[in-house]
Amino acid sequence: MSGHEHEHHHEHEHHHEHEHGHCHEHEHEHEHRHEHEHDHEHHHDHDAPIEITTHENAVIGTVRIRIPGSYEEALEDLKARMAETADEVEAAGGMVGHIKAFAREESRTAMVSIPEPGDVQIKNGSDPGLRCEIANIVFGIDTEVLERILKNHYE
Amino acid sequence: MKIIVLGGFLGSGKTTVLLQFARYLIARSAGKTEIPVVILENEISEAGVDNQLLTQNDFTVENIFSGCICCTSAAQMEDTIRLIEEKYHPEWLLIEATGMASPNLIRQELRADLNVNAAILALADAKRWKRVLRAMPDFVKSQLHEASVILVNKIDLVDEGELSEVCAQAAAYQPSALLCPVCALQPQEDDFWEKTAAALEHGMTEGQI
Repeated sequence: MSGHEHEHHHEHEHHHEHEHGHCHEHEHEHEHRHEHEHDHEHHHDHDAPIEITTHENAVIGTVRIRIPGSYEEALEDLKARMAETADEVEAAGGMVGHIKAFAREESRTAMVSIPEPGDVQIKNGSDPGLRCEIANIVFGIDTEVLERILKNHYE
Repeated sequence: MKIIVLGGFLGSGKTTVLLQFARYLIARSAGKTEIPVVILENEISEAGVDNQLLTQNDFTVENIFSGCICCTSAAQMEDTIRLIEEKYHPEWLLIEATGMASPNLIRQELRADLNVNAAILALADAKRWKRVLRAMPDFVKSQLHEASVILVNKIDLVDEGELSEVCAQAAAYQPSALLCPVCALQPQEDDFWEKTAAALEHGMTEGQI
């Protein structure tokens, strides 16, 4: 069985006030479920390397970045940036929910060119690096604080 | 289709458990059906991290990102489950909730809208138990009190006294649950997963509609 996946996007139309650290402390009213306004806000530009959103009282920072260098060097760099982020969140009075990343190695490049039919030219190159997606889910600090911490480490 | 909801706080080890449990279920169902297990991955962030790990491990994965299926993405969950049923006809659907979800609400949604009785496999993080319990007591309750199985994870990171305390407190939320202390990073034997699957299947029959 080959691994395959699909993504289902949702529309960000929710706004709901809760004081607690999770979804729905209140009694669940099923028939009104989809009409509820949830505390789920997005303040981001999809082309930006750092996106900040909120859900209930969690602040979520998504970072997409490419770290140049060999796999080992870039991974060490990523680990250090993530560890420093965690330390700074706690130092700012927050609580780390989870900081996690998926990293994919990139190395060789190719430029393929067909100047005329029957003539395929390839120019190979090398550009080692690590393509990373990092989710930073934290509590107890403002969106601006997390954004500042992430910009400090990833921009 | 049997549905299991994996709950547990952020970083408690849900994905690690899911990897092992899904492998066990696939091996157990070998030859019975083409795709025995589908995973529905829900992440609160815009980035899919766990789904990339699962897909790389050859699992069939559907994703719902940037929302929580116990509240903001509930309708999407129902649509996705219908799609999974039509497309794959799996024997098992494993739903990995976000670490902020209340699995009991997901279970209620499934029962009300799809007439399905799901079972809950909940993770409790022994290392961070006290801190999370102190900060979010109602949240911990919502994660555990309808669980059929509670895995107290990261037992290698606490001493015996602390572990006993965590196990006793976790069990008090749902005394009828099968409670097992584990280090999910270590491979568990098949008979462990067999017991887990049996307890979850039993949980699906409780309150059956």
